[in-house]
Amino acid sequence: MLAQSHPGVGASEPSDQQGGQVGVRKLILNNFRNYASVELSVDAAIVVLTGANGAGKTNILEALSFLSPGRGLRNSHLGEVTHRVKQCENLVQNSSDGWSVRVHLTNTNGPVEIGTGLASADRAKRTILINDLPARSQNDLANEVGIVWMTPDMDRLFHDSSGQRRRFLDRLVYGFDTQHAARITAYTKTIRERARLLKARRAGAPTDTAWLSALEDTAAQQGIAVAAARRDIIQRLNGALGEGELVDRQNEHRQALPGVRITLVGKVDGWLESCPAAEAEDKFRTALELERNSDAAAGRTETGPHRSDLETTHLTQNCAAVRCSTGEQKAILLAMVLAYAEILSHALPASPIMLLDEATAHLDSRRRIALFARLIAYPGQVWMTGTDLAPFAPLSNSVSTLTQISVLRGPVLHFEVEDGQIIPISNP
Amino acid sequence: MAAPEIEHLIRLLTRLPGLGPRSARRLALHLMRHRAQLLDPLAAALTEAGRVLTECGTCGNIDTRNPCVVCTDPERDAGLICIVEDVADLWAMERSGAYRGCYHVLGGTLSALDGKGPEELKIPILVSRARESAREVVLATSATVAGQTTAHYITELLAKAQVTVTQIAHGVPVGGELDYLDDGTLMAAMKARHKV
Ligand SMILES: Nc1ncnc2c1ncn2[C@@H]1O[C@H](COP(=O)(O)OP(=O)(O)O)[C@@H](O)[C@H]1O
Ligand SMILES: [Mg+2]
Ligand SMILES: [Zn+2]
Repeated sequence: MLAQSHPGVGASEPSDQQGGQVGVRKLILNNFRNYASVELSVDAAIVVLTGANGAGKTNILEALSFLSPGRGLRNSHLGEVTHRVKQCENLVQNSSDGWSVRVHLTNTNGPVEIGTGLASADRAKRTILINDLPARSQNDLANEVGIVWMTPDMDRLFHDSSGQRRRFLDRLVYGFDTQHAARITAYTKTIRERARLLKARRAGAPTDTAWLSALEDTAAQQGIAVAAARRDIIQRLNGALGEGELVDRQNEHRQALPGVRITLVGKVDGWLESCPAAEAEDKFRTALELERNSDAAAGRTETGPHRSDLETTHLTQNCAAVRCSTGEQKAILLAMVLAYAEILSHALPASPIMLLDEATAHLDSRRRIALFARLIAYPGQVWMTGTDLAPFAPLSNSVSTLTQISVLRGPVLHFEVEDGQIIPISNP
Repeated sequence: MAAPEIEHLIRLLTRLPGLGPRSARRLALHLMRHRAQLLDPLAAALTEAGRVLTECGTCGNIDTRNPCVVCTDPERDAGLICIVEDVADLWAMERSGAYRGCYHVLGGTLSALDGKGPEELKIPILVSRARESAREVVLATSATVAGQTTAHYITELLAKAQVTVTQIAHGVPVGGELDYLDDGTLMAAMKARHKV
């Protein structure tokens, strides 16, 4: 099966939203991480959480990340999330050993209540209620709200293994195409099956070539579908990142975030670049057949989308991201995340909620202001964290340069997080 | 804490598909409370089933005879073999009444990682049977990746044996609305379109 384009994505026009209306209005946590129980009302376009290290800021963003399918921004084991209480120096699991996140949000259909959590710590799956009705699958969440996040973990992206970069990219694809995960699973399993047969053959077992070619046929279909879905997202991202370049010349605040180009490098990706998907599928199938012996000898599969790598270039500096400074890398990541939120806005009924954990770390004040300007112009809700309040001052300062760029859509809300408590800070 | 016999019963019940420890305990309790109406007749039925059940050596169906009632039914078209993954699929096909041929029950899909090869799926038996007596083999494995890989494999073998192979259509369910279908299903339906 070939995934040329994904129906539904790009088909609907972004709705004409009233600024700041779509977003979380209330967040209620129970037994969640370092929060026994907490309730937060947030009628704002931008929410800023500040507090000391370990105060529980990231935990709040993690709670919100459970509004999307999957295991949240920490990719945690769900049982780990349950609030533990200190008893004689040891952290022990609370007696009622489940956790819950409840959210009142407004989306284009109006108010929605989403509840999710673990009924007890031994459950493997979290429960999801949408307006008090159990969801059929986690993917139902994607119909209610989009969530995009950036965490300090991603700072390593450019230095990490190519596998980490592929996972990063694939996570971006999931936001558009809920079947991408299933295709990757099917592809990976098929490649492992083939490797097992090749290993047995090398050890002297009789060869069943019909079995091998059946597997290679499936691998080619699924693998090209995976590569095509990735390619689709990269094209959209580059489109959004390129638009940034154009605006640069007119907008000094945009300029402080770099122009970025992303390329997917790999044999299979090269085929998709130069020929139609059906032909790329044939090429991949043929390569697998030709490389049976060498793959068996090497103990790995030489060709396929599992070998692709993401290359990122800082256009303004004309420099590979991996060789950029820490701050420049942060700015590249931010540009990518903003571009992703933007392209997702076109595919979803409304702009996704952005969760930016420690986004201002490593940024100089010019880039920080550029980021804030972009966030103020962003039609969706934004949650940000930081250890200190000072770097966020330009956001709430009504006579700051920012208000000259765009009018605030709604209030910016500051909260101080301290030891499982969340205290609103009144804005000047 | 219950007696060891009861614990043993509960442990066995937990091994049934879809039963967790809690429901297994509830079920055990329910059985014990309804001994005359349920526990004793169920025990007898299980013993009897265990005594008479056998797998059909021809098609892999589970029945009390070998060859099974399907294979020995003179009303059926022995020149038609439908390949299904599981006995449950055979039953589904029979419930529909849409098919009056014979079957081959694979008992799973090909999986090198789980040690399920052509031998385990009795594919050599299928091939010789098809070569001897079949006009047409109908592939009805599930529309999953493993099901389709297995179907692909069987097609290749049977093509060599010069047997006509067909596959049941994948696509829009009867009574289904297009708007609710996923991309994969729609693509399969479009691919399998036919002239009206
Ligand atoms: N299941 C849990 N129960 C209680 N505390 C937890 C749990 N998981 C993490 N924590 C605590 O939460 C704190 C980390 O919170 P986090 O939100 O990451 O901090 P920060 O404000 O620096 O982002 C740590 O002190 C950690 O020990
Ligand atoms: Mg943190
Ligand atoms: Zn039979």
